[in-house]
Amino acid sequence: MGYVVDEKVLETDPHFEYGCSFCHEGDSNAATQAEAHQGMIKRPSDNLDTCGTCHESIAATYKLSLHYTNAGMKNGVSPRFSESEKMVYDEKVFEQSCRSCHASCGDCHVQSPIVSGVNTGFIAGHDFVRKDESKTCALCHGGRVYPEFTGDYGGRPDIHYRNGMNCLDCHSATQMHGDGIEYLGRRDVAVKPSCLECHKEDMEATESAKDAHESHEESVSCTACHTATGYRQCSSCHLDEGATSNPAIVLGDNPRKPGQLTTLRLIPTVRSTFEKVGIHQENFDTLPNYWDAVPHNIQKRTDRTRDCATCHSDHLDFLSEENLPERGSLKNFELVR
Amino acid sequence: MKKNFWSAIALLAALNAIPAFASASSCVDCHSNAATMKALVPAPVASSGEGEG
Repeated sequence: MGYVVDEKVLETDPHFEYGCSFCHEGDSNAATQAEAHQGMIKRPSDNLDTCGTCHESIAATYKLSLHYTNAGMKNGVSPRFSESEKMVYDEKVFEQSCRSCHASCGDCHVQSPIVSGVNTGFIAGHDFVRKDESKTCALCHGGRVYPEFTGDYGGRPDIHYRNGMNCLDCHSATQMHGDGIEYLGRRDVAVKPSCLECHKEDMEATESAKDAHESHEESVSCTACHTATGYRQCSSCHLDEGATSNPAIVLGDNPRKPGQLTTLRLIPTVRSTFEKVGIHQENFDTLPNYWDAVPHNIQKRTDRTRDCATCHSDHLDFLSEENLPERGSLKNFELVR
Repeated sequence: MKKNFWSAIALLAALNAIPAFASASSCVDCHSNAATMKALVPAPVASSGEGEG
């Protein structure tokens, strides 16, 4: 049962020392449901100051973190808009829709986040858990990342998952809670995972692997070679047509690091995405329809690590002008090798 | 002396009457009872929509 409190938790978790009303308000001594719920706060951590009463420093940095501000959902797309369109977007799209998804403390530590109206309730009987990725991260990041990681979309699970790792083994608490800087998007975050944190240079088991890394390190991203199978390419999300996606590996020039070959993901913004609110995206062609992506289905050996010809003569999975989306951004052509 | 004795008895009785937090709160009475919660809270209706990234 999603919202049944486990009485054992009440005895052991210090959060309950001051009673339910300390966070939820209402009247914990009332005789009826209606009286008890008078003035009750369902989601106390929506006001970060509630948690900040004790966890002051975390609440302070979290207020500026991307999980709370959702700034990436605004700044990622805004270059497509004119100045007047940006104002319409902020008012009618970002505040009404995107920002409704922001996560508060409780969405990761008490109950699973509500996604598309589906509410699975407490993570563990109202226990305040440190982490439980399958009941928290997986729900919001379940359209693409998490099922790729666990193999639920088919193929072998990510090698890190098969070795017992989960989200927070790479994505640190500092990254989740923020470092006090209000970033524009996730690419700007200072503390974020890097393959080289664990896979140091000169750790290769074979000379051929060492040679491959040395000769490609400036020009090819880690994921371009080590992404095992097709990952989600999103095509009609956010268009009232139902979400559709197709698995594929797409290799092309990194739009954020020109000159580097990397894995690309088709993103769902098309020319008509915001027409319903009168935004025609006057600068649509400023951004491509693909962003550099880090698919979470990494393997040590893939078609590309086994055989040089896969890329160097066959150009397997390379983005080509023939398979660019119709009426797509003119910027897409710059990503074709 | 006799007055102090009865005061102490009254105090002990009062302390015993103060239940532990779990049973003192009317919140816990309902929210820890699966059957009660099932009767009080309607099952959520899933809407159509896409998951996020």
